[in-house]
Amino acid sequence: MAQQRRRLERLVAGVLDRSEAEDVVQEALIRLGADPVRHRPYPEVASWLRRVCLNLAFNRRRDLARWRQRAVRGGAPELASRPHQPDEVWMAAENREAVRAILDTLSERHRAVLLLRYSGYSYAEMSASLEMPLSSVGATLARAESAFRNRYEEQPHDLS
Amino acid sequence: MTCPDVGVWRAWLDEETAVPGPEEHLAVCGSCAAMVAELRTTSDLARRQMALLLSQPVSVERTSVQSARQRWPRRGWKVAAAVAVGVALMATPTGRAWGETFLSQFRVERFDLVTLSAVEAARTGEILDRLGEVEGTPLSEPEVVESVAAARQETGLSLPDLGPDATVAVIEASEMRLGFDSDEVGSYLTEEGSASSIPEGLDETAIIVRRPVAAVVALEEDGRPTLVVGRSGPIETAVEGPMDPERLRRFLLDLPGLPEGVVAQLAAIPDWRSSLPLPIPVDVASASTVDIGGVEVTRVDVPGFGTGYVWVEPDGTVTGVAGDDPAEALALAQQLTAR
Repeated sequence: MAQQRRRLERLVAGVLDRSEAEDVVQEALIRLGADPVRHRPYPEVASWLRRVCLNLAFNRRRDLARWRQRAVRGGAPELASRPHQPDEVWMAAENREAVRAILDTLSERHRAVLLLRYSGYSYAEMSASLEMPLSSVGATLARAESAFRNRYEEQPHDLS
Repeated sequence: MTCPDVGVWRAWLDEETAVPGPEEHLAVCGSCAAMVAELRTTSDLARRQMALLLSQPVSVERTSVQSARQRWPRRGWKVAAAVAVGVALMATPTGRAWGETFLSQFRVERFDLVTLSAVEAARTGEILDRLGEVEGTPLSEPEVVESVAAARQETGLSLPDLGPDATVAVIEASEMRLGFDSDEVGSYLTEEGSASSIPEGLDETAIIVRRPVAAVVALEEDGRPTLVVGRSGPIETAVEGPMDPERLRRFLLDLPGLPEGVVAQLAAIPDWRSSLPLPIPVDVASASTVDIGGVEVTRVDVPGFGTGYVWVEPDGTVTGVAGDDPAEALALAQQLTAR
């Protein structure tokens, strides 16, 4: 379970900062304890966990964005996610947030496909996690990557 | 051979499916070759960018080193305008202003700082979301006008002239209305196991916040506002309906589940009828009340992004100044408060 948990945290860290990702995974595990799926075979449980983690993460990301917008209107010039950091840490965080901002513009399905794929999950695992036919994964991934590239190329800056 | 579709080629690139004689097919089929080349380029870009995200180090430690590049957010105008106009009343964790909730029938005369963490903000927002329906928007899109003089004429507001390079914009008046829904409130109280009863008249009660027309003057650099000043006429709030404002306030403060620290700060505001609670996200910003030329001013610092000042003038006008150079922002705030 520890390894599974780390993989989930890594997946969710594509949506949220690490500490929040840990909270999300914790919440998903708590929910698992109360859900009948916990009695199912391991692959089903793992798929369920990935799905719930992503949904919780997307919801939390949306809530945080809403809150930040309102807080900004309250007098803070901008809500950076990290106040004081060394250059390299700052730039890394900036880059991550820039990628997240692009992902935010995509549909949840496209976001989930990209996060799962580049977190190292197989097409079979993606299919089970997203409840889509295995034969559709390739086309969905291609569309998601294309949408990502379009948004990326609309950005006035370089992510590096 | 029939051409494989895009999904099959994409899966083939990931070695997730087999394509018979792929290299031979690509050698003779121009459209498939072009498609695969495009898929490769696109997936390479996605892979590189996603690696920035998914290979992140864990738990970034905060330090006291100020080393981030000073700059404004890419959201640019809208954010700058929001800051500069000082529409703090709209700043709530989830779009429901504490200001809306705890003010009534009075003009905003001062700000009171309420510090809260992201978790507390999210929790507070979740609860406020359960109370009813919000109509209206806090901030419309700024519309650029020709000059400061034109903005003055349109809004009646006194505005500083920041020079020929400044951009000037007008923001239309807005009204937000929070109408309570006793069914929603009741189900929330039940879920929380609360024995509290729903106050009589809650269903017919609404809180209304009105912001008159506002204007913004900004200097920009590389498309980013670097120094912004904004003004709005007096912000007014009202409680519409049968409930007494003080009773409504007590009911809201007693709602179960609200973060204790936030409730304590709100309850301690001495003159809640004319004060505007200004939420400060302690995770990313700091704020303080300072005296500038005898005027009580709220200062907000967001490291890496700049400093803002916001205050309410005796006639109710709300003024905000923000800049990525703290000294420049302070100088402008001093100049404006001295008028």
